[in-house]
Amino acid sequence: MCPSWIGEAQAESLNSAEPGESGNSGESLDSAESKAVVQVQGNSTAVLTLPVGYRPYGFGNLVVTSTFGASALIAPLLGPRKNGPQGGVLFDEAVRNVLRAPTFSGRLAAADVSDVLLGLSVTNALLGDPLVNATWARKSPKVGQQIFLMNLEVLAVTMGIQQLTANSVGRERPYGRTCGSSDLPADTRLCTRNDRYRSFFSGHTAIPFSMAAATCTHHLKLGLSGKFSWATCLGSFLVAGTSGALRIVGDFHYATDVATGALVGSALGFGLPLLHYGFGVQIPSARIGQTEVFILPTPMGILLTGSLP
Amino acid sequence: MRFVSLLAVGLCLTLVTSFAPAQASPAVLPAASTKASSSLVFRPWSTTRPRLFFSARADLGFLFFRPHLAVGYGLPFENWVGAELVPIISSGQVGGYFGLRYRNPWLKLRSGGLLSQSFFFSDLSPQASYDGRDLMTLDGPQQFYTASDSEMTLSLSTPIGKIRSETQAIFLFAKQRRTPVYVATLGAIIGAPFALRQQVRMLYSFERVTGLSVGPAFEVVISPYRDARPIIRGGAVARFWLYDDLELRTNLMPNLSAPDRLGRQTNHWLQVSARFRWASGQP
Repeated sequence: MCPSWIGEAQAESLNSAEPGESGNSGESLDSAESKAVVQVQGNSTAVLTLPVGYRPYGFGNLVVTSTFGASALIAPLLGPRKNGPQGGVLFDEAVRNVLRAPTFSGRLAAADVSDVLLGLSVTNALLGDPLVNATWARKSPKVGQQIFLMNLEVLAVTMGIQQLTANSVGRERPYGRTCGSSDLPADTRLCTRNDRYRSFFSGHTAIPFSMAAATCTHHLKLGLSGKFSWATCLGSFLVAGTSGALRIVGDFHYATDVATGALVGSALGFGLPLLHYGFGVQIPSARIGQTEVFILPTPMGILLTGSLP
Repeated sequence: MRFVSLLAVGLCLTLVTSFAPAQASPAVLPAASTKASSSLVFRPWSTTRPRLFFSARADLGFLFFRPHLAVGYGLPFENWVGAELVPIISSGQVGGYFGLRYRNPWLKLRSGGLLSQSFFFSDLSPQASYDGRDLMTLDGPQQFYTASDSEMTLSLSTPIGKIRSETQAIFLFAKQRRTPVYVATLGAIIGAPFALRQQVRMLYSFERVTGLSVGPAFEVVISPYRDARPIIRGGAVARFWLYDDLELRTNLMPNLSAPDRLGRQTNHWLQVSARFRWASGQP
């Protein structure tokens, strides 16, 4: 039923555990993973392991992912609030006047490129890093599985929040004021469908930013791109920023929609993975014979912990 | 539905982890290695035995899901004859293709019926050219058509790579001659009753990266019954066969010349997808 590469991930998981250790990646993944040390810094093809103190994706996360995912699916069917706000606020009109493409074809092209960038960012987060980078190239399917599930969680929560907010605010998209003009006939689906009133906030911005932030977090925490994590972060955020800007060029969003999307997406993309990795900088564990000592920074100070044989 | 598909993969990951057998087959164990280019497992479909089979293929991307079902005899996905069904469901249309297929390593032939019901636009009126608004405007009956869809694919291995030629012919039924019809599978507005598509591409493989092939691709769509110039597309395609049942596919073939400006849906812009394959009786 499930693809064989998922089975392989499990095979690796089972066999990577030493006698007496658990290969289960449920809520209480303890010994095998928590005793692991980060091996990959500076070596772009080394086998990956999860950092000390990592909290694996578990049932609670599955509930969160499913709930927000279902919300994202149902929200468009319910439709947006009637009589939502129209027009720009703050700097919206000034930015629109500068960035909006002058022709319909130009606006459509901008929206299309934004669609492509959105697709690329999600594809990279769900296939590129988990499958190609971690599972295939680094022979670390267990790490790849966790990256996939974390990114899926980020995507579901971001889409859920964005869709519910768009419904409850019901803001008209900037092109809405041109419906009925020679530029945009009133009977085009852009004007007749509910989507016209789902401007706030931009999903085409929130999703790429959330994927960029999550990708950035994985690369920094796991060393997925060795010494070049900064380049991956920079590239991911450039793609996200471009996707957002093109939504203004295409006249699908105001600048405040895009700015809010970027903020929400970044917060979720950094925050949710850090709930798994732990906040602060992980220090690789020190091995002292059969005894292990961990020094972990926490919000309250430094935690010294370890295990005895 | 698309999101559910993504979720299903996630659930699969979770369930397999929870209910995995106590002992895994050594054949699928990946060896810890620093060699980035080697595949964990590679069992080409051609190494299995001929049989009656049921197979399924799915292209999964953001946000689309394209299933493909087949029943046949032979080696699934490699050398077989049988029938196939491709449901076409998207936010803008519903339809499907059903037909017969013969395939061997160098030749693919298929022919069948195609049906499409659009939701967001009406029958098109004759114009010299169209833009995106024409495929967004509902001011009459929604576009519906049935057609025959046939394709021949030739593959030739050469010392410098694999050359592939695809020739597709579409005949529309019950449409007056020269009636403009948007055919999503061609990404083009054609004049009834007939259009042709010819694609040629070359794929180079890399010794250092097993399963990866990349190369240029060109495509022409000709509609003799529409007074407009042909659509010419050009760009690159990439195929990355990671496992025997999983392949990453990338197409980048924008319009280089076209009579219409219809947007991304008719441009084969950058599209990345994962293709899963499954067949009954596969060891």
